[in-house]
Amino acid sequence: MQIITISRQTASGGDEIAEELANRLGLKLINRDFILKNWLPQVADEHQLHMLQQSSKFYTKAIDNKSDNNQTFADYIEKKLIELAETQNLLIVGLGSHVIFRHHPGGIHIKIAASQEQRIKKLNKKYGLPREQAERSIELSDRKRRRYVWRVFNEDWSDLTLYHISLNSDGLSTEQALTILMSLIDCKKENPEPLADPEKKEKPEKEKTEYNFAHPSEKEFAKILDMHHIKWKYEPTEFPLEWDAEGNIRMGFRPDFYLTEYDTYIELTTMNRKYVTEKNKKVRLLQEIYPHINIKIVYKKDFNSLIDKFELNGNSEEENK
Amino acid sequence: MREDERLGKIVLSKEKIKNRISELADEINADYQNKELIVVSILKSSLYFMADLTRKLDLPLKLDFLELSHSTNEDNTGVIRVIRDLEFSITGREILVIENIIKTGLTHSYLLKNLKARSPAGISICTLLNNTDKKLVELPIDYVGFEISEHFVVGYGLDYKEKYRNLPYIVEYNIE
Repeated sequence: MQIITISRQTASGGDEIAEELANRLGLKLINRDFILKNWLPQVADEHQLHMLQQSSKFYTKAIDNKSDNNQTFADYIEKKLIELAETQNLLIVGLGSHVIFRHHPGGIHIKIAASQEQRIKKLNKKYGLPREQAERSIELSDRKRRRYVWRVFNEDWSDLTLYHISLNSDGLSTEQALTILMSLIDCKKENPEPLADPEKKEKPEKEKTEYNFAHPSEKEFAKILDMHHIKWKYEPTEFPLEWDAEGNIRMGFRPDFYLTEYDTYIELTTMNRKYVTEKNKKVRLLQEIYPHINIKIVYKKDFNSLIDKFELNGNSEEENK
Repeated sequence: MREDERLGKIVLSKEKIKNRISELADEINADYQNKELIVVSILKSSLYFMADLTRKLDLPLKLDFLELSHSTNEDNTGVIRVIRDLEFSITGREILVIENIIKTGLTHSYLLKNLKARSPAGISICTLLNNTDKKLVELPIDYVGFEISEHFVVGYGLDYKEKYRNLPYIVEYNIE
């Protein structure tokens, strides 16, 4: 699951960016308003809800003082977020979510900041707040957020190592900020790694399944498939093509790749013409015996143009398969 | 061989393209009656096709653009990514993706995954040219202008090293 968290300074434009990003990515947007409206009324009475709206400290109070269960409002929110993140891609604004999902493999953590001057201007423009009042409002609101993260998670809100990226929205339009963030999100799709966990012991790096490719061109082709996020298996099936009188398999054919999502086999023929003819014959035979099997052949010329197109350093000329 | 001598015979004339686009537009107009569309052009090659096609669509629509780029990392692994993203949210909307040519379907498969992740109401694909022979992954294509053979072609948005996009017709190009 993809979990994007956005922490933002007050009036930094972070809320607008979050809303637009959630729209474009089709992600469910979770912020404090959503929690106050949809989740907290299930466990909080009217007075508690009022306090939760006013005070960050109140989130560390036990939901039910009378019972032995010491679950706080913050615990409850964390539990609900983790549950939801198991089934849905989310964009979460604030709530210490960057700490909750700090080590989530699909987590991307963003901080949006802006200069004091810009933030004052923004509050003035949006709510007509005079300078002094805007300064006060920024100070109080930032303090609330900082204290919440400190009280609940014992983390420093301003620690930039808690985020993959920190954007200063001064001089950046929402559109420009979105372009940068979409690009980061796209990059992380290729390499979804969580932020480092200093307390966790270094695990030996999980080795990627290494295939013993029979030919360098197959390795290059696998890269092209990976590049396009196409799931594949290498030589998973051998199809019997000829049998002797006793029913023993005399000739079989094992296509190079199987594209699992497309139920399609791919055979590369980047070799001499002599072998191509032989292989074509096998493919024809396979199609006759197994008409329901989808198989595509990639010839040397097509393979080379793919390598050129995707700017990989193919080795198709190196040796015959 | 001089560069311009590499241009071969015209495969699709200006007139032929124009007529076929009118037919495609009729089909799309009929299929999307009373619906709102976001038409997404895949840059850069589909630019002319989108311009000509959408001017014949009699539907309420928005135009948007998406550009993908292929590059190679230091370890020689390939990366494909969106370098120009959509302006509009497509969640819950009907999308018509405009391509100029679909060959192997590999890039197209990535594109569809990327767009589907944004939960549109529906995605249809319209390509001017489709090369069935080269297809490695079969994806549903809703509107096809022309089926073409394996010759490399340029013009009407298609390029060879960024040249020839502005030719008003589609012509074979000898890359050997």
